Amino acid sequence: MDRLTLTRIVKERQLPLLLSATKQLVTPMYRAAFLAAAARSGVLARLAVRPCDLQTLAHGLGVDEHAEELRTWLDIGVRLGDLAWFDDAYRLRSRTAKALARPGREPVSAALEEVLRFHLPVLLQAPQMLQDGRRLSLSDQDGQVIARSTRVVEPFVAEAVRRTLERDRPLRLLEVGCGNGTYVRLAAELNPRLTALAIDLQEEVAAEAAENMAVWGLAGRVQTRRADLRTLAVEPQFDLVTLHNNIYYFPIEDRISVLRKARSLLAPGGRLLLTTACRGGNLGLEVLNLWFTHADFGGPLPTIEDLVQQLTDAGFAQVTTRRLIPGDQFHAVVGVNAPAGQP
Amino acid sequence: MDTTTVDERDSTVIRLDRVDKPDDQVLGGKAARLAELTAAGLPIPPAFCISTAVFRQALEHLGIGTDEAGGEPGSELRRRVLDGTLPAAITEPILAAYAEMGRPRVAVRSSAVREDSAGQSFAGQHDTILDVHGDEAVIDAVKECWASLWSDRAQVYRDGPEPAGAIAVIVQEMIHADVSGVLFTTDPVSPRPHQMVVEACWGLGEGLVSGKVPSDWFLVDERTMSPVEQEIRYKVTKCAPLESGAIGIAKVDEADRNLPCLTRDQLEELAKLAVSVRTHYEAEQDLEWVLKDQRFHLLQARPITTRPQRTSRNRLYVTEQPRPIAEGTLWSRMDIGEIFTGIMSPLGQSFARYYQGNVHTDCARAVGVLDPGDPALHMGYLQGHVYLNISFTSYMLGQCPPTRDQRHFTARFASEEADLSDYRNPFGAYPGGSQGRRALTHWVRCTAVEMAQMKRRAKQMVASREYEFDRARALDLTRLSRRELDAEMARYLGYFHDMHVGYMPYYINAFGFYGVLAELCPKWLGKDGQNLQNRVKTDMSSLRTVESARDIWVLAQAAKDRPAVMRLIRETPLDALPAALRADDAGREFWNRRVEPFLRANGTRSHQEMELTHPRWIDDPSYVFQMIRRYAEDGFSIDEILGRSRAYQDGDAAAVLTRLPRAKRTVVEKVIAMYVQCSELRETARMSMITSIWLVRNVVYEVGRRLIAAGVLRSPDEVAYLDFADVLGYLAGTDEPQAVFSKVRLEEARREFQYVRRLPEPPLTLIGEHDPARAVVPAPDGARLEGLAASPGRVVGRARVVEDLVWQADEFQAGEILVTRFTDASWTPLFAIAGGVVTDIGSMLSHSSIVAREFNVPSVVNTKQATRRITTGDLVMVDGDAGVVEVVEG
Repeated sequence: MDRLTLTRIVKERQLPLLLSATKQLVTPMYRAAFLAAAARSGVLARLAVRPCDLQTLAHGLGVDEHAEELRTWLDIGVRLGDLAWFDDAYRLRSRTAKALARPGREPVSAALEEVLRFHLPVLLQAPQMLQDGRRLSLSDQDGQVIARSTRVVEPFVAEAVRRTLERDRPLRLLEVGCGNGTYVRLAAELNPRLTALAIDLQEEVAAEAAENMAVWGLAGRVQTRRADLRTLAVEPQFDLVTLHNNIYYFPIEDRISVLRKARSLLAPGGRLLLTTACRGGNLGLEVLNLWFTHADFGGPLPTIEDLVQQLTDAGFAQVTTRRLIPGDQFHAVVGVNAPAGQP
Repeated sequence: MDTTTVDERDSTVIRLDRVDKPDDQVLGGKAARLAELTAAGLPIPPAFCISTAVFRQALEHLGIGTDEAGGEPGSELRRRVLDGTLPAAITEPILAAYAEMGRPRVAVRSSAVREDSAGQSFAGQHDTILDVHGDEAVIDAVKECWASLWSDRAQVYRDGPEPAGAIAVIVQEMIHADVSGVLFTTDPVSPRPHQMVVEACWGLGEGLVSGKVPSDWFLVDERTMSPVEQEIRYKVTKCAPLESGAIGIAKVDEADRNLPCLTRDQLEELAKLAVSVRTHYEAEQDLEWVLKDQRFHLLQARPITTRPQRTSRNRLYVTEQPRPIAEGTLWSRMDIGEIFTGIMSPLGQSFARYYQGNVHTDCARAVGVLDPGDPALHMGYLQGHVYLNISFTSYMLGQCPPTRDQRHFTARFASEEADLSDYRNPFGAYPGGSQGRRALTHWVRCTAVEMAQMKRRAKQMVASREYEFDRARALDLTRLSRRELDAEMARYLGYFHDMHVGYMPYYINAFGFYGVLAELCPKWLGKDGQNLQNRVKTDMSSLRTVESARDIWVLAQAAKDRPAVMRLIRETPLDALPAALRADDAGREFWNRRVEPFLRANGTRSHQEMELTHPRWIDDPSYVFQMIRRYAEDGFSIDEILGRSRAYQDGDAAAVLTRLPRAKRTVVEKVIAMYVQCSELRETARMSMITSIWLVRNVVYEVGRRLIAAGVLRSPDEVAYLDFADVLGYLAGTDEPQAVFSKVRLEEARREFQYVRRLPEPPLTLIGEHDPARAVVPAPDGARLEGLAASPGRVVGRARVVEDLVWQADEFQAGEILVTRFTDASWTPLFAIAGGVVTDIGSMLSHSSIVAREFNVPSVVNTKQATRRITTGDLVMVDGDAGVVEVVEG
């Protein structure tokens, strides 16, 4: 860079802006990306046990051949302040890195990854996509990342399941969009006489759920398979149908018929439990809404009023709602498939 | 084969009396035996046989090679045989032989070459077509017999890919028998020297084989040719040609019902016939015979392969027990819930075993028992009957204060058969000390909880019943995958468990409060107290069993208000009635608006509900429509009867209490109130329990339907021989049905059941083991029977013995004395019009007693002998205060 150029840049006051943008915008993004990768690759977990030298980390990742390239990545972590290099070993430094490294924090790092991999692209490309007429598709989502990241809301969904599920009688559950199967597992644990059919639209997600059921010893009670609720042909045998965090996977114009279909699989007097993020919540939810408005499937997040109306239109009675996260737009909705001749 | 000469062809349709050398390969096994018997001069109805050569010829004509039979799917081959047209060369000799017989009505039976004797009557049995008439029908029946070689059923148990073999056909004059039966020259299951077993029923023998009609049983000593034991049943139904032309169940004329099917002379003649067959073959024989116009005919003779007697036959315990326990245990099948009383099919027994292993101990826990012990000890099985282990139960109930003294519980089981004077409980008394104190504390806590929640639980049980009923009605089980059906079964068994466990405390507590009352009343009020105790009945009009009678009455009124509907109900045969109603505009309206709600409230009832083979009202509403016919004719109101009972009580029972000091009076009133409440709740809860059994039954019959489709079973009747554990195993797995349901075991279950069914009924109560060979206690002489005074009042009326509720419901006249073996809730509608009720089996708390008291019908139960000693038309006096029944005029 010659002197003249430098002068010009200073004069145009770009440099301060660039410097401040780096500090305020870019660095946090770098940190987010680094931490998400460090969490997912297991580096954070390894360092949480004890400081490790380069060879140990490279070996742990199975990249002994590429130790030097790995060092370049790790040193960025040191520059970002999340790692430290001391005594020929890397160790955790920042509070955020230490917090993410604790066991049970995987959903947080997965949420971070979801933001980076799905939220950022749609923010970045929305205008361009509109110009090009391009839409996001299901393959733009990594089902496993979504499954892990939605575990942030797991305790709240679990609470809704606990409140709704009857435990003192045999029960048949249909879970639509079962993800990794965690809520079916919870339901099966709460009611030892529950049997279930768990379905998911995505083949690999359903396969993973089926494997999980086997590991959890639930393969006998829970049947897991890829299926679309809209074309599911089974008898009305279910006491409870659950849809967790997936109503927005259905286009807005399909939702009433989807709910009606769910009702048709319920026994007279059976119930539907639906949990979902709704419009008007935190920023993350709004970006999620953005994502779905730009996808070639699904549709925007519902408002809670819309949902209640849709359940009613689908023929459900005694529709009740419950806010699951205080102060946020995350709700549970329950509707009853009224027996014939009863309101 | 195409070189066959005309002469040879002729000889391939052979009159059985012209067979020179009976050859199994040519005639098939069955026809060869009949030819031998004919040749030996035994009375075989005229018949001819269409040999296996004709069969081969027909196959050739239809383009089916015999070796091909293993390859092509059976259904396809069967269709080709049934649809194919036969050339005159084949049909003419058959029709000529038929013409020679005089074209009578005939039975057409298959006679297969390869029938293994063990599975003969089960899997190997090919078709029999009864009552065939006319040339065309005969040819069709012959084709049907041929085609049966490839029936699913014949194929499913055929081992390996070998060809199906050949089949001959017998065309035999149909004997429209007056009496039919079987004779075993030695008892196949429990042989006794020199004794033959004869079983006989009115009409055709088909009903006997399937167990659908009642039969008489005789044990004939072949040295004297006279009966040494006999069991004459009241026979309401028989198998006969119906007006429609089909063979079906019909009523026996009233005059014949009590009569033995065979006289002593006839028995002697039959036994002599059997001896000559045995002598001819030099082997024990199983004969099928018919009697027509005083002449015996033999339809079939098969050798019996006797098996060693099972040593456990007389033992009730399901597991090995030390001698003092096995020989000292008191058993009873009285009052163990009427859902068990009476003989049970192999399916019913195996379901009882399921109950014993999975539900019963939780029921004990539910009444506050801390330690219910080994489930294997609680129940026992004898000759198809289910028994409660009274010794172990009373030992176990020793943990609870109201039943600490075992005598309270045990004494009520004393009967003529079981003398309790020397009885000592082999289990002893439940230990005291710290173990006893722990059990006591537990009981107190449980009972307190029960008292607090019993009303709420009954409500929940009602709600869950309606939910499960509606859910089941909306489900089409035929469309469920095996896995879904398995989940369904698991659900219903879970519900079955919960409803039994929920029901039991009401039952035991009603029992307990009644016991307290029975102790207090005589002590404080003397004889009047006993009357009071007997007449305890406050407002019980909401008892569900009584409500079912009211509901039928309401239904009958609704039908009466619709003359077109009532005409349909009166004039349509019962089995066609539901379809006829739904096909008619007014009928459909009646069905949807009236019958459906009725079935929702009452439809899962039946008799002896634990017996899964019994259809529920909703499965077969015949009985309901019989009662509608009855109620619609009688000009009385059921409200009058119920109203009468309440007024009666107010004036009488309450008056006695005023003699008591206030404190004692309060106690008695409180005990009465609790007894009534528990009884009411029990009846409410019972309906949920009954519904849970219906749910399980639905899945079992759906499995049965699939087994029929797979060729494992022949008809829904054979569901009775399934083992419930196999049904569960089949549902839980993926094995082919024939791998789960073994042919040998099905056949064994069938034989065992047919065997125990013809034994005299084992005693209600017994100690130790039971020897079925021991002679039955002869009925005491005289016209006086003693039993339990179950419902007060004296009445004189004509007796009507009712053996078959469904078939006799429309015969019962208002005011008659109902005499029967035992009743359960399904009998209630009949009680409403009965003048009195007398039963062989029962106790104060059994259904007949409760409902008789409710309807204010004098009743004596537990007479042991009433159905054997009283005949329809006798004038009898029922004394419901003294517990005595007298035949005033026989």
